[in-house]
Amino acid sequence: MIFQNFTLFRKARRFKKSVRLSAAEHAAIKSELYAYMKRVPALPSARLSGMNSANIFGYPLARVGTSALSALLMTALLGGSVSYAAEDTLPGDTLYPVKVSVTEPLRESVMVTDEARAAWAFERANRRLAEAATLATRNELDDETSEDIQVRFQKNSREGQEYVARLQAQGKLNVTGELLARFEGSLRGHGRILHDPDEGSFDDNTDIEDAGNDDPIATLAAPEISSAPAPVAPIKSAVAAKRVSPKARMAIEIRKDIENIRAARSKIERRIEAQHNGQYKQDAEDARNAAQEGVSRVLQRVSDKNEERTVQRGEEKQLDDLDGSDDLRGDISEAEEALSEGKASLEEENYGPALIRFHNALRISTEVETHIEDGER
Amino acid sequence: MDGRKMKKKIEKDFAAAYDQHADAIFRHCYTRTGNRALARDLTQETFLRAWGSVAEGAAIDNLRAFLYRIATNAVIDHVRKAKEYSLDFMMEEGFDPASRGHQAIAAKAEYGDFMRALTQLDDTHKTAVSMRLIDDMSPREIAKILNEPENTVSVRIHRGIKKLKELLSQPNTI
Repeated sequence: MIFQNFTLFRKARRFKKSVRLSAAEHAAIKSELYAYMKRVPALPSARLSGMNSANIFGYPLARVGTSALSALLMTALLGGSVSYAAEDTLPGDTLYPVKVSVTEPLRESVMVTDEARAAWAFERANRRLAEAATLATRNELDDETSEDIQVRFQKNSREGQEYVARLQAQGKLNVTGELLARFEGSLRGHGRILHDPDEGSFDDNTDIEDAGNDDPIATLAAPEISSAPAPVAPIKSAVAAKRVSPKARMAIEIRKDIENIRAARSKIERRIEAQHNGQYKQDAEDARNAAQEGVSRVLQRVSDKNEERTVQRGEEKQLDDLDGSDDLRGDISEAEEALSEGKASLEEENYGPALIRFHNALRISTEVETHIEDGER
Repeated sequence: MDGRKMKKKIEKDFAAAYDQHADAIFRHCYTRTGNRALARDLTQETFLRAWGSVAEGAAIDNLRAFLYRIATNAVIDHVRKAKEYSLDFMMEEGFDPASRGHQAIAAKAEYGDFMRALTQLDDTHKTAVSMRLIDDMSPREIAKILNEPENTVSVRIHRGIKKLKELLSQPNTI
C-alpha cells in the first residue's frame, strides 16, 4: 500500500512537471489576452484580490533551461509582466527590442494558416506606423528612428502581401479582399497623420504613376521573393524633389504601399465580378457582418470622443470638434453608404457586388478609426 | 491611487496572474479533455473570460479559485457541445504531454499510463482526484470551486485514488 501511494504521488508529481504550455503557446495566449485587455479596459470599480505576489516571478524562472531557442528563453526569463510592459513601448525605449524581436515573432511562430499570418504581418506593419505617428505627434521622430521603422514596416508589409498572394492563388478572394481592405484603410489612416500638411491633403497625394505592374501581388508571389523593398514608384509631389522630413518620408512609403494594395484590390474585384455570382453568398454575408462591425465601431468611437470632450469642456460639441472633421464626416458617410449599398445588393442576391461594397465600407471605416486613434496618441 | 494608476495595477496584476496560473489551468483542462490543442484553447478562453469579469468590476476574492471555476465550466460547456471526451478520442489524438522532442517521448512513456488511468475514471472522480493530486488543492478548496459539500469531495478523492491505484497496478488493462 505504501509503495502504491508512493508510486501514485510520484507519477502525479512527474506528470505535473511534464504537462505545461510551451513558451510559444504562452506567448500566443498572452498576445490574445493582452489584445483583449486593451480592447476591454477595466472599469474604475474593478478590483483584483487573491494574488500571491511572492510567486509572480517563480513561474518564469522555473522555466529556464527548458527551451532550446534563445528567444523563447529570453521571454521565459523576462516573464509576462515584462512582455506586457514591452507591448506599449516605442522605438528608443529599453524594452522595444523585446516587443519587435521576441514577442511579435513568437506570436507568429504558432500561427498555422496563411490567413492568420497575413493578418498578423499587416498588423505588425500597422503597429510600426502607429509608432511613427505617435513619435511624430510628439516631435520625436528623427531620421534614424524613421529609417528603423521604415525598414521594419517594409518587411512586415511585404510579408503580408506574400501571404495574401498565396491566399489569392488558392482562390480565397473574400479573405484576401478583406485583408487588403483593412490594411489599405489603416495605411490611409496613418498617412493622414504622417503626411506634410503643406503638400495638401493626404488623399490628393496618393496619385502615383503606374509603375508598369498591373498586379504587384502576383509579382510578389514569384519564387524569387526578395527581402528588399519593392521599387519606389515616381511620386507626383514636390515632396519627392526636396529634402524630406522623417515624417514625410514615412508618408511616401505609405503611399507606395497603398498603390500596391489598391492595384491588388482592383484585380480581386475584377475577378469577383467575373465569376459566378452565387458562390459568394456566404462570403457576402460574412463581409456584411465585418463591415457592419467596422462602421458601428467608428460611430461609437466618434460618439465617445464627442462625449468626452463635451464633459471636459462642459459645452455641447459634435463631430466638428475632431481634427479634420470635414474629411471624417465625409468618410463616415461614405462608409455608411457603401454598407447600405452592399446590403441592397445582398437583398437583390447580387453577391459579388455586395462583397465588394462591404469591403469598401470596411476599408473606409478602418481608415477613419485609424485616423482617430492616431489623433489620440 | 487615482483611477488610471489603479487600472494599470489591475492589468499588471492580471498579467502576473497569468504567469502564475496558466500552466495549472492548462493541466486542469488537459486532464479533462486529453487533447493538448483543445486544452490550450480552453486555457485561453478561461483567462479571457476571467478578464471580462475583472474588467466589469466583479468582486473576486480568490483569483485562483475563480480561474479554476471558469476553466471547469469551460470544459463542461465544451464537452456538452462536442463528443470528444473519450478515451478513444484521446488515443486517436495521441498523448502529448510536453511540446516536442525526445523529452516528450520519454515523458509519454513514463507518464502516459498515469494519464490513461486518470482518463478512465468517471468525470466527477477524475476532477476531484486531479485537483487533489496534480493541482495540490485541499478538499475544502476543491469543494469551494466545484460548489459541492466538502464531505462529498473527500469521498470522491478517496474513491478516485483507490480506483487509480487499481488501474495503475494492472498496466495491461490501461
